Amino acid sequence: MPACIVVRSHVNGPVEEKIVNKLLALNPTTLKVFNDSHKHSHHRSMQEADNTVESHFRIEIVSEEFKGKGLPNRHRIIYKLLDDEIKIDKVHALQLKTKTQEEVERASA
Amino acid sequence: MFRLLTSRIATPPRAYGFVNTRFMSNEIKDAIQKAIDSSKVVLFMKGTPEFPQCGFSRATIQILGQQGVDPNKFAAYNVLEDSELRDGIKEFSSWPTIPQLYVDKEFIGGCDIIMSMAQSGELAELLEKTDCLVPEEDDGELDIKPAERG
Repeated sequence: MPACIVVRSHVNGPVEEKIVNKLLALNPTTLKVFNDSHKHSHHRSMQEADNTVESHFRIEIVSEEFKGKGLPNRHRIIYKLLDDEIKIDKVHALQLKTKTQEEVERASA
Repeated sequence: MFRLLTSRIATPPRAYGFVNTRFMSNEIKDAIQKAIDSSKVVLFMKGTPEFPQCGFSRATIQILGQQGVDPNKFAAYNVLEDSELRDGIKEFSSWPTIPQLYVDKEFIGGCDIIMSMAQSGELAELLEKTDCLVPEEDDGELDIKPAERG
């Protein structure tokens, strides 16, 4: 199995911990999780929300699981894996970059 | 409706999953399908194109504007006005977040996908192919003229 680079946010909260652990199931070669919740805490739907410190995450993930799949299906894989975090932990939004190793190499070539 | 329920129940229920799971009525499903059929480019968003209520919806509207989507072929639905639509569209598209874009009745994606397709040129290609852009001859009405090409 290739080594995985994992980058975590400085907030490093319990929801983020769960997100990282679940996404490792995709055997990523790169997994970066950024907590952007502070950028959205003023936003309208966040005003009555219970979870405002771990509500918005930006995720960059490189995995071979995405090979041959279009973007909607790649995102659906992630949404499915993080269903509990979205529905129970009330993660409000995920910004996703989903690539294969080949696509990363092609982009940097 | 019944088929949807049985297929959902066939998957093992999780401990808390059902608290948040609601099943869409046929009425809502039909209404959503009608909305998707109502225009070539259909966006389910938070707020309105003039006053988006969420940064991701705002970004999506901006991209569609930059691409030159024909306003006559565009419809936006504000999910904040209708909680049944808000929950229903998530189930309908198997997509948990808003905004959601449909082009020619096909689900395209959310804000990240639209942004990445705009960057790669795929979005322009799709909108062109499905005839969703402002026709070029209509540009004559605008007061901004394109620079002369040398």
